[in-house]
Amino acid sequence: MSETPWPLRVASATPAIETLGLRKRYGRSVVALDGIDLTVPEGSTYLLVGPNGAGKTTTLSILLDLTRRSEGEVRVLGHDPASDGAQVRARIGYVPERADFGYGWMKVRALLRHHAVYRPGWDADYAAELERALELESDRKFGKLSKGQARRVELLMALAHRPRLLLLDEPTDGLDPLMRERVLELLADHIRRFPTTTFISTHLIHEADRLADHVAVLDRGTIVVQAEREALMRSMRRWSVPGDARPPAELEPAIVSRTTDRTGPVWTVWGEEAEVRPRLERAGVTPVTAARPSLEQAAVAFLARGSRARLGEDE
Amino acid sequence: MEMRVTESAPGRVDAAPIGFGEALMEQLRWVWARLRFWWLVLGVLLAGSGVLLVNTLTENTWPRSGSMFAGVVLPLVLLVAVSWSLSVWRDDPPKDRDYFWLQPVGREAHTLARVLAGLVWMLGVMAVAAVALAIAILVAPDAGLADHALPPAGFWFSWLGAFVLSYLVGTFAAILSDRPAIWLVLGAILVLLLDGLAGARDWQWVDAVTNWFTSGDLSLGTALFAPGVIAFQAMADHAPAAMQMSPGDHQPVAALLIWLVIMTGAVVGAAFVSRPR
Repeated sequence: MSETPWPLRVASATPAIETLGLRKRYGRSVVALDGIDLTVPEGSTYLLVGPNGAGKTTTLSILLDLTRRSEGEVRVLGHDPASDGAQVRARIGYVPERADFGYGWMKVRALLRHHAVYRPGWDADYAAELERALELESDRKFGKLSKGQARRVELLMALAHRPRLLLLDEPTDGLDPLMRERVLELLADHIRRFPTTTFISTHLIHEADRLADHVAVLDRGTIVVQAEREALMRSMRRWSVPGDARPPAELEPAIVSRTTDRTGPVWTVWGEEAEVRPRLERAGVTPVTAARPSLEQAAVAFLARGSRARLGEDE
Repeated sequence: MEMRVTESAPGRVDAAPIGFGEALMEQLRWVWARLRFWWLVLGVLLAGSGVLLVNTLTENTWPRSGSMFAGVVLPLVLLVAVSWSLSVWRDDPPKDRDYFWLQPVGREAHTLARVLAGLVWMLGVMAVAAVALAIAILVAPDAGLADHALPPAGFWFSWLGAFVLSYLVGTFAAILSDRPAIWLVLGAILVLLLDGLAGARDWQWVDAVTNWFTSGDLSLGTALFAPGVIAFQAMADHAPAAMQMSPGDHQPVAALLIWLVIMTGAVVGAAFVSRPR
């Protein structure tokens, strides 16, 4: 892997999830994951972001042993899911991307009871509390629920046994804005009350922004950046530069992306402000402003970089 | 880089997977709830069979009814057993088995718990049917059966054995395939087609293979159908002596035993082979 100024690995003495060189191929030509190294520290809220088709759901599936990896090592809470899957699944709460599994004939109450039997740690009082908060209609058949309602049922199923590890695949997908807000509050409350490692896969970055303390950006099966959120935010700036400015060669590797907004060109550069500004000025570029990007802007900058590289625009 | 292991969790007793027994109990509950429609269908079938049976017994028409049972009722109930097995797995085809596989229990054990739960309920229904049949034979007036004698043990064995075998054949397909009914029908058509061609063209090696499935002494077909035929014919003969199977008639029972062992192994193997891709 080529060297980059930004981190591709997170250090942790106690990772809840760790993958090394994780690869997944479908057939001979389709590479869904191309040797990714993930480190999710225990107790963290880790955001895996990327566009549709980046490999996020495949990653989650491998962590749950719903998909077999082609190569690499995986540890989830100290266990290899491929050989010790039941141990892993007993400690996990999971919200899948799709909510249309085949038990639609069951009433929500019966489905929850069925789910609870498999989880000795199921907390009936907490389940009732979540049921009220999520406004579930327990007497309706699961298959008759809307996508948003089914998503809320699955959230309850993931949370009520207070697992050590939450794996959430697009957890707010299908929810209306009000319920989305409530679910995010509920997740934040859950994490506060029951120390939990939370791994969220999403392309709706702004929604999970408030929860995340670690971030990885996945693009076409490759991790393009992986860092503590604060380190990422501290080390990136969006520089508004004059329209005719050319990036200095020495700074080129640190430029994550170059875009244009209503004020003119904007360069997203890796490096702290005090370090980058003199280098720009030495090259004759007098920046107008240096702003801290949002998490979404940072992630999109990395994705845009990958996209431009594929299109050959960097050459 | 060396992988690190994290076993401790802050402030929480670690959860553990549940055992086979708990999974089986829950699968028994689940199958009971899932196949509610089937209970209704089977109730109607059993009631209909009972009426038919008592009627034929009282009308002294066993020879005719023996053929009818062998040719119509037995294939029908075998089909019911296959359909039952497919229904047990209808919610969890391999391509959409994620929820089933996400449960914290060994996947092979979980699969076998579902298989066993379906089998237990089916045998329960068959036991009720057998009791109803026995009562009908014992109490029906002028049944034409000497001393209202019950059928021999071979009849009960073949009755239940053929059901279990059908269930296992259906289960094998349902565990491995998203379209088990299509594979079963295609498989049956292929075997019958090859069997016919082998007979017509004198393809001896093909004939030898298809005989294992169709009409050989130890074939699947013999196992599924012949024990029932023998038992019903024994009943039809009216004579107490005929209620005891002759030594030659034990061949189909041997076929049934052999195929029960084969299919049990196949289903257990399928439970181990069937896994995420």
